[in-house]
Amino acid sequence: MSEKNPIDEHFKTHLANAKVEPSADLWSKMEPRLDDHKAGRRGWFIGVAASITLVFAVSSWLYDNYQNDGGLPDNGITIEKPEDNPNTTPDAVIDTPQFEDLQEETPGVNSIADDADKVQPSSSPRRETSRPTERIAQGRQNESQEENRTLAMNTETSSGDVVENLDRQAQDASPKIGVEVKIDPYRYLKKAEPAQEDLAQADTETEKVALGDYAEQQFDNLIQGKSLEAPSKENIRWPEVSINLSPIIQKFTPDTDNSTTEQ
Amino acid sequence: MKLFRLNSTTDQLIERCRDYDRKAQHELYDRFASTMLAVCVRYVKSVEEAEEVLMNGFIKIFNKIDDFSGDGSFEGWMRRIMVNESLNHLRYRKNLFVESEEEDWPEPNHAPMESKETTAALLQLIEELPVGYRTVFNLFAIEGYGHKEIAEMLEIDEKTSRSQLSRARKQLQERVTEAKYLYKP
Repeated sequence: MSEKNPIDEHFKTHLANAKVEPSADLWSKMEPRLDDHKAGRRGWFIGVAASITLVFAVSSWLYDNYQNDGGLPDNGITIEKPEDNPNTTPDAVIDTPQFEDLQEETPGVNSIADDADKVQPSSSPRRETSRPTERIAQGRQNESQEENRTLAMNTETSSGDVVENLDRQAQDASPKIGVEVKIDPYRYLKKAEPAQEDLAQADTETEKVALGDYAEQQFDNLIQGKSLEAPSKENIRWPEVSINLSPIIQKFTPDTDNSTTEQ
Repeated sequence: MKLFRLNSTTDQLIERCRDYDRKAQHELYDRFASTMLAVCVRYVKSVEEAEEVLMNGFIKIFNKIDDFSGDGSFEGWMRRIMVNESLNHLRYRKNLFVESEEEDWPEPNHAPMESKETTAALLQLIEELPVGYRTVFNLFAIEGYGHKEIAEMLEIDEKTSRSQLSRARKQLQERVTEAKYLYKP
């Protein structure tokens, strides 16, 4: 490498940066051979992503199952899918929508005290005593949740509180958490239904107003990002069904007993 | 794509190639294929074979691009890969070095060329060299390797490397002076 040969230099000068154009189709010939490697690498990522997703899905499914099945004391009640129940017993239909209304249709701004005032005498548009019985009479067995919701909204609207209604609609749409809160009591109510409560029980359910208000308050808290308050049995008027409901609610709340400002 | 090409530097292309970005690989290929083919063609006689070597070289470049540390010149790194691929190809084909290759020296089959085609003419002269001469000459004169490195790369004696180089030079000198326009001493 030491001495510079003129021939070497001559060739180097001309050839070091020479260019020879390859065939036009050379890339297309080569590209399939590149695919394998790319697919392999991409497949690796997909594999990892898929397994993470799978683990997440399975664990959440297991957790869900635990929530629904394992968390409850066995009162001889079997949990059923919400869709199954309405077809089995008419009573189920009655109970279910009512609870649903209580949990779901939360007034956004109302304080509990206000609500309690309004609601107590069973004159609340959303919780009239007569409504469930009417439904029984009409034999509506297949009402879906959506129908229940709209029904509740209609009654509210008829009470003249349009602005509030809109407000609630907006709140209904936004937080998903609220939807979850509603679900489990819903299922439990259905469990209670096979216990064959008739109209007499429908009357007792009018007293559930207090429990409903509690639920509404918690729902408001969820929406507004406040922490949940634990229910206390003294301050909540439990319906007969409450035997089944209480473990669930307690499950959702910490053990500390903050008394709810009910009634 | 053309806009992209205007804006992307080789470094950006390399980074994208590390992620196996197919467009970047294509762009890198478009940018360097002709230069790299000129390397391969000096070692491998036919253009078809050189293109095969070129493809293998690019596949290796794309697969091993993480091995490029970014310290030296990327083009130099690619060049070394192409040279190695060419040598592998030659090794695969036949024994590289036969001491007496004088008889392999073909008669020049080209007419004197115009000066503007000097590069092509010189390439052709190299192509006509016996494979051993050609390889050592390429490695030494154009790639810049020393005899010791060449001897290791080709698994030959250093002495052999030197003798091959001097024979290559001698024959090239003859050809070049035959066509005087190719060479101005």
